[in-house]
Amino acid sequence: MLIRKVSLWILIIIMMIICVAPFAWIMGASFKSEEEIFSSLYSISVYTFIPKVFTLDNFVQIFKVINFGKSILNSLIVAVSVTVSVLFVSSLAAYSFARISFPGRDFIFSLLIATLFIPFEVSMLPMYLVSKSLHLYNSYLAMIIPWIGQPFGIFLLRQFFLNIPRSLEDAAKIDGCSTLGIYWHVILPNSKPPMITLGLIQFLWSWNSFYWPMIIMEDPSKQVIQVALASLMDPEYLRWGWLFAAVTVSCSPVIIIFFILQKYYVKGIALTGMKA
Amino acid sequence: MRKPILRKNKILIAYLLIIPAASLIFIFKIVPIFISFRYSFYNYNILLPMDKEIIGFANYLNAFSDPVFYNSLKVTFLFTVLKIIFQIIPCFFIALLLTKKIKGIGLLRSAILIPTVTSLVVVSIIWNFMYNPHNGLFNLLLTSIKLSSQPFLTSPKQALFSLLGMMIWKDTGFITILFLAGLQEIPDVFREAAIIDGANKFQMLFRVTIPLLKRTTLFVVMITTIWSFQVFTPIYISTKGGPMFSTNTLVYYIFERGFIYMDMGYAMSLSVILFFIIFGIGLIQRRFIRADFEY
Repeated sequence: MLIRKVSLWILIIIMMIICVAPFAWIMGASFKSEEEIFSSLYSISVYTFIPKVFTLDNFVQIFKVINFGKSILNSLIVAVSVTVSVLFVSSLAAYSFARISFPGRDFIFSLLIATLFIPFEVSMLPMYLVSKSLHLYNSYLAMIIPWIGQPFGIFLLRQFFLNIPRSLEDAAKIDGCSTLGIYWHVILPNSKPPMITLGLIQFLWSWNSFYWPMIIMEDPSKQVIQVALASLMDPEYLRWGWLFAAVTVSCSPVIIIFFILQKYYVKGIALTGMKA
Repeated sequence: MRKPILRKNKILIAYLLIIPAASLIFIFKIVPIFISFRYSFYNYNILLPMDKEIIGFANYLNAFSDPVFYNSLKVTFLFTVLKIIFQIIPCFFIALLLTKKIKGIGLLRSAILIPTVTSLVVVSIIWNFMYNPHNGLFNLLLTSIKLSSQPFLTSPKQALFSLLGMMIWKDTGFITILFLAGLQEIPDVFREAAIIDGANKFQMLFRVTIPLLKRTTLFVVMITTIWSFQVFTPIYISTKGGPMFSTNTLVYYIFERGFIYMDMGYAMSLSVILFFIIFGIGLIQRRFIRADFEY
C-alpha cells in the first residue's frame, strides 16, 4: 500500500517537473550573462538552471535597446480592447438568443457556431484581403476589430443565460422592466463567473495571438509581443540572453494570471467539452 | 396575449442585439470562405492586384501535380495520426489520476495547464533551444548519461517528431481537463452498481469507465484532429518547413505560397482543399458521435 502511494507520488512529481522544467531553464538562463550562457555548455549541473553570476542586464537591454516595453503595451492595448468588446458584444447576442424568440433565431445561431469549425488557417488569407479592402491594415483597429465577433463567447454565455432562473426575470418584468433593462439589471449582475471565464480565455487568446498580427501589422512599433518575440529569433538580432529575458517577461504575467484565475479557466475548458 | 406592437418591438430589439456580433462574424469569418473559393480561380499576385485574371481550375490542376503539395498532405496526416495516438492515451490516464483524492493533486492539474496557457510562440522558442544540437537541455541530459547528442530539429528524420513531442506537451493540459470533465460527469450510480456486481479494477476501467467516455473521447479526437491540421507557429519559428520539407505541413505551405511566393490564387485553392478535407473528416467523425449516443 505504501509502496503504491510513494510510486504514485514519484510519478506525479516527475510529471510536474516535465511541465515546469523548460520554463525554469529559460527563466534561469535569462539572469545569466551572455558569456555564462555559452560557457555552461558542457555538462549538466545545478548551474544549468541557476546562474553563477546573477545579472539583470538582459532585462535592462531589451527594454532600452529594442523597446520591448512598447511591445508589451501594444499587446495590452489589443488584448484588453478585444476582451472588453467581446464580453459586451457576445453578452448582448447571447441574451437575445437565450431569452427572446424571433424568426430565424436557431438557424442564425447554428450558422454562427458552425464557423467555430473553420480553422483560422483556412480563412486567414481571405480574411487578410477582406481586412485590407476595409482599410483595416497596419493599425491597432486592424488587430482588434476582426476578433470582436467571437462565436465561442456567444455560445458560452448563452449556455449560462439559459440557466438563469426565469423567476428573476419575471420579478423584474412585474416591476416594469424593459427587455434591455432585464439585460442590464438581471442577467449581467448574475453572470460574473461566466463573464470572468470568457474574459480570461479571450484575454489569453488575444495576448498569445501571433499569425494574424504578423500578417496585418507592418509597423514594428505597433507590433504585439508574440511577433516581437519571434523576430528576436532572427539570426540578425539574435542574442540569447535578450531572447530568454523577453520570453520570461512574456510568459510570467500569463502564468501569474492563470494561477489566480485557475478555476475559471478549467471551467471554460470543461464547457467546451460539454458542447459535444 | 402580448399586443402585436410590443411583440414587433421585442423582435426588433432581438435583431439589434445580435447585429454587432453576427455582422462581424459574417464579415470576417463567413465572407472569407466565399472569397477564398472565388480567388482560387484567379491568378492573383498581391503585389500586382490589378493583373489578376481568371484561370479556371488551373490552380487546382497545379496542386494535384505538385509534389510539395502531396508531401505537405503526407506530413500533415502523419503528424495528426501520431498526435492523436500519443496525446489521447497518456492524457486519459493522467485524467484518471486527477480524479483520485491524493493530497496536492491539484498541483499537478495546475502544472499541466501551464504549457497550455503559455503562448505557442514562447513554447516554440523554449523548445527550439531545448532541442539545440550543441547546448540544448535535451542534449545536455543525453550526454551526461553518456548517450550521443541528437540533431532533433536539424534532421529530416527527427524534426517532425521533435515538433510532435513539443505539441503533445503543450496540449496535455487541455486534453486532460476535457477527459477529467467527462469523467466527472459520469454518475456515480454506474460505478456503484459495478462494485455491487463485484467488478475489479480492470473490469471497472474497461467495461464501465471507458465505454461511458465515448462522447468525450470522440470530441477529443475531433479537436485534436483540427488542431493538428492547424500547426503553423512552431514551424514558422523553428524549422520553416524544413529540413528537406519534413515539417512542411499544408497550412505552412499555404502560408509560404501566399505570403512568401505571393501566389495568392494558388494559396487560396490549397485553402479550399484544406477546408474540404477538414469538413470531410469532421463529417465522418460526427457520424460516430451520432451513432453512439450513450446516456
